[in-house]
Amino acid sequence: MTKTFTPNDVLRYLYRETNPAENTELEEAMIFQSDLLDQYVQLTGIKEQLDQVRKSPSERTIQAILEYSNSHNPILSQSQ
Amino acid sequence: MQNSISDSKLISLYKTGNEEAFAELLNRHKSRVFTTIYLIVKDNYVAEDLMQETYIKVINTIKSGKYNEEGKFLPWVLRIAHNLAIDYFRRSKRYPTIIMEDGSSVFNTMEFSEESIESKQIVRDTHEKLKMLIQELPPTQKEVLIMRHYMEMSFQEIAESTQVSINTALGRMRYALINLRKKMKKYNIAYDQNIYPQ
Repeated sequence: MTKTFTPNDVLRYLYRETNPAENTELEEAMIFQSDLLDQYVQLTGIKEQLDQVRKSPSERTIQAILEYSNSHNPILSQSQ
Repeated sequence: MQNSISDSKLISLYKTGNEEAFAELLNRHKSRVFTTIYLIVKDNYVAEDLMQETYIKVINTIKSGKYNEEGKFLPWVLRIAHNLAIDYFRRSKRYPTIIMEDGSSVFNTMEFSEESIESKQIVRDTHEKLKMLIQELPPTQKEVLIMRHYMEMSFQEIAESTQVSINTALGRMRYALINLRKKMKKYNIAYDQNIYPQ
Protein backbone atom coordinates (compact mmCIF):
# COMPACT_ATOMS: atom_id res chain seq x y z
CA MET A 1 0.00 0.00 0.00
CA THR A 2 1.31 3.44 -0.90
CA LYS A 3 1.79 5.75 2.04
CA THR A 4 0.10 9.13 1.89
CA PHE A 5 2.46 11.99 2.68
CA THR A 6 1.54 15.40 4.04
CA PRO A 7 3.30 18.79 3.88
CA ASN A 8 4.50 18.11 7.44
CA ASP A 9 6.34 15.03 6.14
CA VAL A 10 8.02 17.22 3.53
CA LEU A 11 9.19 19.49 6.33
CA ARG A 12 10.55 16.52 8.32
CA TYR A 13 12.35 15.38 5.16
CA LEU A 14 13.80 18.85 4.62
CA TYR A 15 15.20 18.86 8.17
CA ARG A 16 16.46 15.27 7.80
CA GLU A 17 14.12 13.79 10.36
CA THR A 18 12.75 11.07 8.08
CA ASN A 19 14.25 7.58 7.94
CA PRO A 20 15.83 6.11 4.77
CA ALA A 21 12.69 4.13 3.87
CA GLU A 22 10.52 7.24 4.19
CA ASN A 23 13.03 9.21 2.12
CA THR A 24 12.72 6.80 -0.79
CA GLU A 25 8.94 6.73 -0.63
CA LEU A 26 8.63 10.47 -0.29
CA GLU A 27 11.03 11.14 -3.17
CA GLU A 28 8.90 8.86 -5.35
CA ALA A 29 5.71 10.51 -4.16
CA MET A 30 7.06 13.92 -5.07
CA ILE A 31 7.47 12.81 -8.69
CA PHE A 32 3.74 12.18 -9.00
CA GLN A 33 2.32 14.68 -6.52
CA SER A 34 3.18 18.16 -7.70
CA ASP A 35 1.78 19.76 -4.53
CA LEU A 36 4.36 17.93 -2.43
CA LEU A 37 7.14 18.91 -4.81
CA ASP A 38 5.96 22.55 -4.81
CA GLN A 39 5.99 22.52 -1.03
CA TYR A 40 9.50 21.10 -1.02
CA VAL A 41 10.82 23.69 -3.47
CA GLN A 42 9.22 26.58 -1.56
CA LEU A 43 10.50 25.45 1.82
CA THR A 44 13.99 24.67 0.52
CA GLY A 45 14.42 28.17 -0.88
CA ILE A 46 13.63 29.96 2.37
CA LYS A 47 15.58 27.41 4.43
CA GLU A 48 18.69 28.19 2.37
CA GLN A 49 18.20 31.89 3.00
CA LEU A 50 17.83 31.27 6.73
CA ASP A 51 21.07 29.27 6.68
CA GLN A 52 22.87 32.43 5.61
CA VAL A 53 21.44 34.57 8.39
CA ARG A 54 24.21 34.25 10.90
CA LYS A 55 25.62 36.87 13.18
CA SER A 56 28.96 36.82 14.90
CA PRO A 57 29.78 38.34 18.26
CA SER A 58 32.41 41.07 18.41
CA GLU A 59 36.07 40.19 18.82
CA ARG A 60 35.95 42.10 22.10
CA THR A 61 33.35 39.69 23.48
CA ILE A 62 35.34 36.67 22.35
CA GLN A 63 38.47 38.04 24.02
CA ALA A 64 36.56 38.75 27.25
CA ILE A 65 35.32 35.15 27.35
CA LEU A 66 38.80 33.76 26.68
CA GLU A 67 40.29 35.98 29.39
CA TYR A 68 37.66 34.84 31.87
CA SER A 69 38.47 31.23 31.06
CA ASN A 70 42.21 31.85 31.39
CA SER A 71 41.77 33.41 34.81
CA HIS A 72 39.88 30.40 36.19
CA ASN A 73 41.95 27.35 37.01
CA PRO A 74 40.34 23.96 36.51
CA ILE A 75 39.35 21.97 39.56
CA LEU A 76 40.41 18.50 38.52
CA SER A 77 38.29 15.59 39.69
CA GLN A 78 39.78 13.27 42.30
CA SER A 79 39.97 10.36 39.87
CA GLN A 80 42.52 12.21 37.74
CA MET B 1 43.67 22.95 15.86
CA GLN B 2 41.91 20.75 13.29
CA ASN B 3 38.15 20.76 12.90
CA SER B 4 38.13 16.93 12.96
CA ILE B 5 38.64 16.90 16.73
CA SER B 6 35.27 16.25 18.34
CA ASP B 7 33.67 18.61 20.83
CA SER B 8 33.90 15.86 23.42
CA LYS B 9 37.65 15.51 22.93
CA LEU B 10 38.11 19.28 23.11
CA ILE B 11 36.21 19.37 26.40
CA SER B 12 38.44 16.62 27.80
CA LEU B 13 41.51 18.66 26.82
CA TYR B 14 39.97 21.79 28.28
CA LYS B 15 39.32 20.04 31.58
CA THR B 16 43.05 19.42 31.88
CA GLY B 17 43.75 23.11 31.41
CA ASN B 18 44.19 23.32 27.64
CA GLU B 19 42.86 26.81 26.88
CA GLU B 20 43.48 26.40 23.16
CA ALA B 21 40.88 23.62 23.14
CA PHE B 22 38.35 26.00 24.67
CA ALA B 23 39.21 28.71 22.13
CA GLU B 24 38.49 26.20 19.36
CA LEU B 25 35.15 25.23 20.91
CA LEU B 26 34.19 28.86 21.29
CA ASN B 27 35.17 29.72 17.74
CA ARG B 28 33.45 26.64 16.32
CA HIS B 29 30.02 27.49 17.77
CA LYS B 30 30.10 31.26 18.34
CA SER B 31 27.88 32.24 15.38
CA ARG B 32 25.18 29.71 16.13
CA VAL B 33 25.04 30.64 19.82
CA PHE B 34 25.13 34.37 19.10
CA THR B 35 22.47 34.20 16.36
CA THR B 36 20.14 32.26 18.67
CA ILE B 37 20.50 34.91 21.37
CA TYR B 38 20.20 37.81 18.95
CA LEU B 39 17.00 36.54 17.34
CA ILE B 40 15.35 36.45 20.77
CA VAL B 41 16.59 39.71 22.30
CA LYS B 42 16.82 41.71 19.04
CA ASP B 43 19.66 43.88 20.25
CA ASN B 44 23.38 43.57 19.55
CA TYR B 45 24.59 45.01 22.84
CA VAL B 46 22.36 42.79 24.93
CA ALA B 47 23.26 39.78 22.78
CA GLU B 48 26.98 40.44 23.38
CA ASP B 49 26.38 40.55 27.16
CA LEU B 50 24.29 37.40 27.15
CA MET B 51 26.91 35.65 25.01
CA GLN B 52 29.44 36.35 27.76
CA GLU B 53 27.02 35.26 30.48
CA THR B 54 26.36 32.04 28.62
CA TYR B 55 30.03 31.17 28.36
CA ILE B 56 30.74 32.16 31.97
CA LYS B 57 28.21 29.49 32.96
CA VAL B 58 29.80 27.05 30.52
CA ILE B 59 33.31 27.72 31.86
CA ASN B 60 32.24 27.52 35.49
CA THR B 61 30.36 24.27 34.94
CA ILE B 62 33.18 22.56 33.04
CA LYS B 63 35.98 23.80 35.27
CA SER B 64 34.17 22.77 38.43
CA GLY B 65 33.79 19.24 37.06
CA LYS B 66 30.00 19.45 36.88
CA TYR B 67 29.64 19.08 33.11
CA ASN B 68 27.58 16.04 32.17
CA GLU B 69 29.45 14.09 29.50
CA GLU B 70 26.30 12.28 28.40
CA GLY B 71 24.78 15.29 26.70
CA LYS B 72 26.09 16.95 23.58
CA PHE B 73 28.03 20.15 24.03
CA LEU B 74 26.33 22.45 21.50
CA PRO B 75 22.70 21.66 22.47
CA TRP B 76 23.71 22.22 26.11
CA VAL B 77 25.29 25.62 25.36
CA LEU B 78 22.32 26.60 23.20
CA ARG B 79 19.92 25.69 26.01
CA ILE B 80 21.82 27.95 28.42
CA ALA B 81 21.85 30.76 25.83
CA HIS B 82 18.16 30.30 25.07
CA ASN B 83 17.17 30.36 28.75
CA LEU B 84 19.21 33.50 29.44
CA ALA B 85 17.76 35.23 26.37
CA ILE B 86 14.19 34.29 27.31
CA ASP B 87 14.78 35.49 30.90
CA TYR B 88 16.07 38.79 29.55
CA PHE B 89 13.17 39.10 27.12
CA ARG B 90 10.63 38.56 29.93
CA ARG B 91 12.40 41.01 32.26
CA SER B 92 12.64 43.67 29.55
CA LYS B 93 8.91 43.34 28.92
CA ARG B 94 8.30 44.24 32.56
CA TYR B 95 10.94 46.97 32.74
CA PRO B 96 11.35 48.54 29.31
CA THR B 97 14.78 50.04 28.70
CA ILE B 98 15.95 52.66 26.25
CA ILE B 99 18.49 51.24 23.84
CA MET B 100 20.75 53.44 21.78
CA GLU B 101 20.72 52.56 18.12
CA ASP B 102 24.03 54.10 17.06
CA GLY B 103 27.04 51.89 16.45
CA SER B 104 25.16 48.67 17.04
CA SER B 105 26.57 47.05 13.94
CA VAL B 106 30.19 48.24 14.26
CA PHE B 107 31.50 45.14 15.98
CA ASN B 108 29.30 42.66 14.23
CA THR B 109 29.76 41.04 10.89
CA MET B 110 27.49 39.01 8.68
CA GLU B 111 29.04 36.12 6.85
CA PHE B 112 29.07 36.41 3.06
CA SER B 113 30.58 34.54 0.20
CA GLU B 114 29.64 36.92 -2.58
CA GLU B 115 32.25 38.81 -4.56
CA SER B 116 31.44 42.38 -5.55
CA ILE B 117 30.66 45.27 -3.23
CA GLU B 118 27.30 45.68 -4.92
CA SER B 119 26.33 42.03 -4.54
CA LYS B 120 27.53 42.11 -0.93
CA GLN B 121 25.26 45.07 -0.30
CA ILE B 122 22.28 43.35 -1.89
CA VAL B 123 22.89 40.21 0.15
CA ARG B 124 23.41 42.28 3.31
CA ASP B 125 20.10 44.09 2.70
CA THR B 126 18.33 40.79 2.08
CA HIS B 127 19.71 39.23 5.26
CA GLU B 128 18.84 42.28 7.31
CA LYS B 129 15.30 42.17 5.93
CA LEU B 130 15.00 38.47 6.69
CA LYS B 131 16.14 39.07 10.28
CA MET B 132 13.47 41.77 10.61
CA LEU B 133 10.82 39.48 9.16
CA ILE B 134 11.74 36.73 11.65
CA GLN B 135 11.01 39.22 14.42
CA GLU B 136 7.59 39.92 12.90
CA LEU B 137 6.48 36.29 13.01
CA PRO B 138 3.83 35.29 15.57
CA PRO B 139 5.65 34.31 18.81
CA THR B 140 4.83 30.60 18.56
CA GLN B 141 6.15 30.42 14.98
CA LYS B 142 9.28 32.39 15.83
CA GLU B 143 9.96 30.14 18.82
CA VAL B 144 9.79 26.95 16.75
CA LEU B 145 11.87 28.49 13.97
CA ILE B 146 14.70 29.43 16.35
CA MET B 147 14.56 26.09 18.15
CA ARG B 148 14.60 24.00 14.96
CA HIS B 149 16.72 26.03 12.60
CA TYR B 150 19.30 27.63 14.89
CA MET B 151 19.26 25.45 18.01
CA GLU B 152 18.90 22.25 15.96
CA MET B 153 16.35 20.71 18.30
CA SER B 154 14.27 17.94 16.72
CA PHE B 155 10.56 18.49 16.19
CA GLN B 156 9.90 15.91 18.89
CA GLU B 157 12.11 17.80 21.36
CA ILE B 158 10.39 21.08 20.44
CA ALA B 159 6.96 19.50 20.92
CA GLU B 160 7.96 18.31 24.41
CA SER B 161 9.62 21.60 25.31
CA THR B 162 6.66 23.72 24.23
CA GLN B 163 4.05 21.20 25.38
CA VAL B 164 2.28 20.79 22.06
CA SER B 165 1.83 17.82 19.72
CA ILE B 166 4.53 17.13 17.15
CA ASN B 167 2.03 17.98 14.38
CA THR B 168 1.43 21.38 15.95
CA ALA B 169 5.18 22.01 16.13
CA LEU B 170 5.56 20.95 12.49
CA GLY B 171 2.60 23.10 11.45
CA ARG B 172 3.99 26.16 13.21
CA MET B 173 7.36 25.70 11.56
CA ARG B 174 5.79 25.25 8.15
CA TYR B 175 3.70 28.38 8.52
CA ALA B 176 6.76 30.28 9.75
CA LEU B 177 8.71 29.29 6.63
CA ILE B 178 5.78 29.96 4.29
CA ASN B 179 5.16 33.36 5.90
CA LEU B 180 8.81 34.30 5.57
CA ARG B 181 8.89 33.17 1.98
CA LYS B 182 5.82 35.24 1.05
CA LYS B 183 7.16 38.33 2.78
CA MET B 184 10.62 37.94 1.24
CA LYS B 185 9.05 37.59 -2.18
CA LYS B 186 7.14 40.83 -1.65
CA TYR B 187 10.30 42.52 -0.39
CA ASN B 188 12.39 41.31 -3.34
CA ILE B 189 9.88 42.69 -5.83
CA ALA B 190 9.85 46.05 -4.02
CA TYR B 191 13.67 46.02 -3.74
CA ASP B 192 14.11 45.33 -7.47
CA GLN B 193 11.71 48.13 -8.40
CA ASN B 194 13.59 50.47 -6.10
CA ILE B 195 17.00 49.67 -7.56
CA TYR B 196 15.90 49.26 -11.16
CA PRO B 197 12.95 51.68 -11.56
CA GLN B 198 10.95 51.11 -14.71
